[in-house]
Amino acid sequence: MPRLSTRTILQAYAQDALLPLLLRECRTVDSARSELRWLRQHAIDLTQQRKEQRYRRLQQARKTGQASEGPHSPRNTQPHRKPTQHHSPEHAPPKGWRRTLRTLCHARSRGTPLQYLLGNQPFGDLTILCQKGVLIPRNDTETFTYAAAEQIRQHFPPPKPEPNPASPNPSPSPSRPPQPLRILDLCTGTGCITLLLHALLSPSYPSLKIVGIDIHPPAIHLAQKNLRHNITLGDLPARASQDVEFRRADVLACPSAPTSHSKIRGRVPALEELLPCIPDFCPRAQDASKPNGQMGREGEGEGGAKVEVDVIISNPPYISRTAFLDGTTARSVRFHEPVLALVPPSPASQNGMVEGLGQGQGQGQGQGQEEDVFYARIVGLAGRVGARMVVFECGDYEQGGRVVELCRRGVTARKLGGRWEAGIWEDETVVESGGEGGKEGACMVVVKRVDVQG
Amino acid sequence: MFRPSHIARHTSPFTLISTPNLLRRSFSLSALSLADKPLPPRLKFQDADLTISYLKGTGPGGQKINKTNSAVQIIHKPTGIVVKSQATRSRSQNEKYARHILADKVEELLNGDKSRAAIKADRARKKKASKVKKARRKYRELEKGQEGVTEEVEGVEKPHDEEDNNASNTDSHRHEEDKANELSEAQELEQKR
Repeated sequence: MPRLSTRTILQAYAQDALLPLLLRECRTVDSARSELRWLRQHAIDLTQQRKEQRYRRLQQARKTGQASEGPHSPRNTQPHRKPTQHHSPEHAPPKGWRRTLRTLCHARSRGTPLQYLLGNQPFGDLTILCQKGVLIPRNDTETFTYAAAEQIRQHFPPPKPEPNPASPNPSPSPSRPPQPLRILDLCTGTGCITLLLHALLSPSYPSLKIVGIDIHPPAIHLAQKNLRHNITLGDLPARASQDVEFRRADVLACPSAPTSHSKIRGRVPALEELLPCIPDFCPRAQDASKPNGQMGREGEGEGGAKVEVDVIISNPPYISRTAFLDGTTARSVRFHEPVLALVPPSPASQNGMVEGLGQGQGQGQGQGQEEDVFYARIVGLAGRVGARMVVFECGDYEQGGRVVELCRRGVTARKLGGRWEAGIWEDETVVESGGEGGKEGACMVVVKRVDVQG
Repeated sequence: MFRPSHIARHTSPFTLISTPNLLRRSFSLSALSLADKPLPPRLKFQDADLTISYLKGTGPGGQKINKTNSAVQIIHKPTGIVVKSQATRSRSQNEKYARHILADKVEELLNGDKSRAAIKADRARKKKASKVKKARRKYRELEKGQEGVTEEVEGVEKPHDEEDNNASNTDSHRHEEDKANELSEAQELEQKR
């Protein structure tokens, strides 16, 4: 990170005494000024909220005090002056907001992400709540989610029967509803991709099922909170509460041990164990409606044709151990965001998940690819659940190329049945302001099955 | 034409209470009613005419870095006007703002004085002028009242006006106090440094 020039710091200080603090993390006066503006608004809101809370508490205390002491000591309740708002909130900010702002700025200068300080991050038209311990949604992911929704709409043409009430033949309509578009979002974190996809796709697909999977319980809680939050805000339709689901599962865990599932209750279920429990993902299990028998068969069949998913989308941890430490990963990310969501576990520590890796890439480039663990695993899964489209976010174009290669090998090894098309999605809307190298940032890999049309 | 909400927005609540005041002042409402005439609609663009781009720095992206900047840049191809917005943290909001700004700029280029932005500015100017005029009139009358040249009708109003005056005085006092606080805080800060 190049040193900030004294001139920049002085220039910032002349504008606002707090700007140099923010400059430590933002690096440019322009963005520091924007952040100061947002932080200031937040500080005012926060102070106002606290003040109101304190006032409410005081009032309550006074009430209870009156109740307990009885009518003979009315003076005791009087002495403190009424802590009413002297100024109405729209005119003057509440007292003490500067102190709050200063605290926020100091926290920011130490690298705390702005989104953790403000508590949320806009993602498309949604507002995604953020809290420490769960990865913050990135701008890139937002772009990719829009593009993915567009790709899904092209690959799975939405049902057209708009004149539903006027349709004369009732035969197609009962057959449609049991076939929703089924999307699986792996490593969902805050649930941002899941929720934005629902917001984008729900107008054109009357029947939709999106399930977000994560291993981290706080992330699942936060995702569910986000779902409720956006429905109450009105940014998501009310049907989202039925269409969207968040479940806890371990994507990398090996499903080959059927005993462990039934015996140990506290263990995180492997993805293969969880999927049959979601009724929308197993069309035939619905009429069987015997969860026990179905589970047993699932165990024997080893993820047979039972579970069906149309699209798998994932933004898995993709930073390699070396890239995490060699300075390319930002300080704020390293110190304040969860490592679990950034760096995939090394193959050595995980004894169960050899299956995906061993066949996929065991032959050639052995080491340097530990960050691709999730992609190998998910490609293997896609073949088994009959997915017709897989979308990945990758760290850079090099990794994107490796993932494309991985998919091609998956097709030749018959892990993915049928004919597939894999490629890195080209984004023409993003302008590189720096100019020189164009192929550095994150990228999106889209893998489509082309022989079967939905 | 005559809408209380308009008055409420532009005059202090104290003057609203006294009805004779209102009646007497109603002649000046014509300036306010200007706002009733709808502004000409904003220009709508064909999507083909625009190049919308999200600015992004070079270097690693994705999970490795957490950017808070979500600037949006729009280029209007026929005129070559470039507009950039980074007012909010949300990309879609920024895009909306950028579109508004672009619409204003392009229209100004096309229509000059009759454009939406120009009309808006004109109205704001007129409103301000009338406000200043009214304030001047009020204080002139107050001065007259203090000199003792009170007419019978205004005699009823005088206490109201004084109340109003007092209220505004205390208000300004409070503001001064606030300012002083702010200043001292700023000084403290400087001293700390």
